[in-house]
Amino acid sequence: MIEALWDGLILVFSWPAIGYMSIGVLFGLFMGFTPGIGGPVTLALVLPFSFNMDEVSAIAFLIGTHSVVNNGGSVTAILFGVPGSGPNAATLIDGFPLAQKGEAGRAIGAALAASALGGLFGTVVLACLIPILRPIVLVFGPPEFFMLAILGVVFLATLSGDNPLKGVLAGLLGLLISLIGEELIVGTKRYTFDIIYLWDGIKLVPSVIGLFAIAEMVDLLLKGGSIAKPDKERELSGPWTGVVDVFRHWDILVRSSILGVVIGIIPGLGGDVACFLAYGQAAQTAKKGEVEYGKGNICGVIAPEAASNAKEGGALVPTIAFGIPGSGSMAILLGALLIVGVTPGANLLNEQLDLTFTMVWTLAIANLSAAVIILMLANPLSKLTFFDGSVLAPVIISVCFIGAYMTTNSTGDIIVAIVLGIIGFMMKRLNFSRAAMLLGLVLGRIVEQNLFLSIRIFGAGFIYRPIAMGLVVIALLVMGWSFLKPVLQRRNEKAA
Amino acid sequence: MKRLSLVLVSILIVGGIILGSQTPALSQDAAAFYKGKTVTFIVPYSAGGGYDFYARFMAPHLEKYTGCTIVIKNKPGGGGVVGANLVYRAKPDGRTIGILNMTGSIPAQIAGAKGIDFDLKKFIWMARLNDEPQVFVVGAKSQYTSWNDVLQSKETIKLASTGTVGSTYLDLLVLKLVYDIKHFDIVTGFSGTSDADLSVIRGELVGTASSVSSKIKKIEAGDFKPLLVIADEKVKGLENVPLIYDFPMSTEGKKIADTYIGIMNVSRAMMMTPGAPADRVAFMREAFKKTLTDPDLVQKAEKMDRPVSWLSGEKVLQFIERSFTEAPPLFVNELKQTMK
Repeated sequence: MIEALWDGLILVFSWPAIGYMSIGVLFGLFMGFTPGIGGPVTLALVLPFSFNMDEVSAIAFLIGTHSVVNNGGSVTAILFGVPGSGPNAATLIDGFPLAQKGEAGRAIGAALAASALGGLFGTVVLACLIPILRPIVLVFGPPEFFMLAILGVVFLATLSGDNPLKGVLAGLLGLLISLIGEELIVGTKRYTFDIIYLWDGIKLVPSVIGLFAIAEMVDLLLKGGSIAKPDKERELSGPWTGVVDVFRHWDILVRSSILGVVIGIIPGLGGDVACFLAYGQAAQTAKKGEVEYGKGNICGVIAPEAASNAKEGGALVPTIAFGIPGSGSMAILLGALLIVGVTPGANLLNEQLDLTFTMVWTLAIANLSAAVIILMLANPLSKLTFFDGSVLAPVIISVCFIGAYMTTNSTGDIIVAIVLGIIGFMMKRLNFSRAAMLLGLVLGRIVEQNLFLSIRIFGAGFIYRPIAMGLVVIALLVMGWSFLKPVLQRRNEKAA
Repeated sequence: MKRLSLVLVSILIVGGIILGSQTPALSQDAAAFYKGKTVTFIVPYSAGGGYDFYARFMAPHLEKYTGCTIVIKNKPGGGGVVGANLVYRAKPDGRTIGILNMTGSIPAQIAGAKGIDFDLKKFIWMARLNDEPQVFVVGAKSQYTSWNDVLQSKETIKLASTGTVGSTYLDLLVLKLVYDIKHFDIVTGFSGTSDADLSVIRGELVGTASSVSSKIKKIEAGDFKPLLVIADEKVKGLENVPLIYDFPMSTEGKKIADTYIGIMNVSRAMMMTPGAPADRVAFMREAFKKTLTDPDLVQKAEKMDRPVSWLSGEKVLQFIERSFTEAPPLFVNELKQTMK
């Protein structure tokens, strides 16, 4: 085991693998900065180049490229409110407000450190779980998916600070929007008005771009000034403060990583859900006196970033161990591994263990080098937020439209971004939680689909399955607490 | 430095021209037309998916044989309808090609589904990418050990399926109609075949069906028992599994089986905008033939469990026309109900 660990490290640093990995990291970062392009698309683009490489180079190149796309995407999410891809959407809920406070550097630092540590944590947990992985994958069925999603819905109430009802309303709006499109069960087209674009539902990335980036830019243009208000005191808060923040909030890091790993190893829930659930649980456990979530709380950046990377580590293991890809990217990677002659299965955990560790090391090293590159760029990049809005906003709005259009290459994407931009602007002015709405949008379909499947398969008694029941209890506790907490706090304040 | 790069670039261009000109001139005019031009390859599904993979996999070879630059455009939406409409309505100059899932599109057009502006019988078909024989499987621990067990079962058999427009649902629906099985209960709503598969592996549902290439690894690993192959000839790796025609069926049932197997013979195929000049069509068809019969490409594809089996564009059209004329009313009505 130790020998394989060491051999794997040597393989990563062997020539030409290390060269290919560097190219991959640079390309992955570039694609991450480009809005609307996520991990699966990037992997699909570089895949043909790997066909003629040896197996170690191919692994270093593909995993190196893929593992840093997300890092690039979180930078644009924080600076301008434009997410690179779905998983970055949760990061911008608090990341962008931090940039507005002039703390873009700190947010970027925290995002990078959280994703690197989350990824590392995910890998370690999975290494320990390998012997019992198969039963774990098989214990989660539709009833458990349904309850996990319900748990996410329950977090809605907490996302609106002191006014849970407003959070619930915003969440319901998101749930309603998620109903648009052709549903999976009998193929009924709902609210599609004979427009083919709407058959596939409202996509996450154009929605986030509208709700946040466009709404904020319109707001900025109306108010004048720059994204960040120059503030002598805060100019000092560079990326390293963010890195330190991650260690200060280690409890959130650990919880979010565990959540990410769990969702990663059970195929079927999707990556976006991991980030939003992690965000929800972080907001749920906010302590008194913390900055409100959605208004620039650093934990709101740490949680989704940790979960996002922990999940990718998680998705890797079922892919190599069983050949069941845990995510869209992993399905592509699986194909590439087969072509260079690496067959997923038990032998990757026995005879070819050094190759498996090569993958783990590549993940770690690629993440680390991406972090170093971005940390060097973070300060100059965050200066952009001090540019005058009248110069910056038109540029960013154009980038927003390109990013939205990249989703399905259809004008429908741009219309969605504009309509949700208007809704987002109104919600901002009326102080409704846009995060809650996004959570509703992400979870709506999953709740519906898994409720239906659960009832069809198990009947109404599905809820009595042990894990599902456990999740019901947690959901009830969370719900009770979120309505009780404000009452208790008020009473305490009166007493004091 | 500038001069050096200029020299390098001209070497590359000259080299490219020389390499390009090695393509045997099937039709001088068409070859001259395509040289240096861009051809748009519309993939009506998302980037990173199976069809996108095939398009990107074929593109470098197509470029080599035609001298043009292939630009892949992902136009997902409506289960392929958006992209197929675009290919159909493009300028008929032979510079727009596309790829389509026929197992979904043919039944959709037969049923007269909404949103379809194209006519599959009017597309100019380039080639078949592959045929996808389907297989019906049950969980490893299932009480059913043969297709006869399934047919004669007194209990309701619950089966896992993706949405009603997916090929999994069609497979199960066709089996139900062909043998007139009353005790099938098809549970729809899984996001993809791998989610449906996991449900069967977990033992929640009895069985499912989908393409052999997506099931073969799990059959070999012992997660599934294959009970019936939906094809008219034996499939590699599943030689001991009976075929759909091995069991008694009514005349109407046989017609449905014939239609469906006809459709599956052209599971995935590439097409060009109707009305393109004949010499360009012939030139492009030849390029597809060379690409898909290239031993290196075929071998790589096989390794990835993404099979390739070329068939000429003319044959593809024949299969399509046959499935439209042969589809029995019972099947058409059932499809209309499903795809309303």
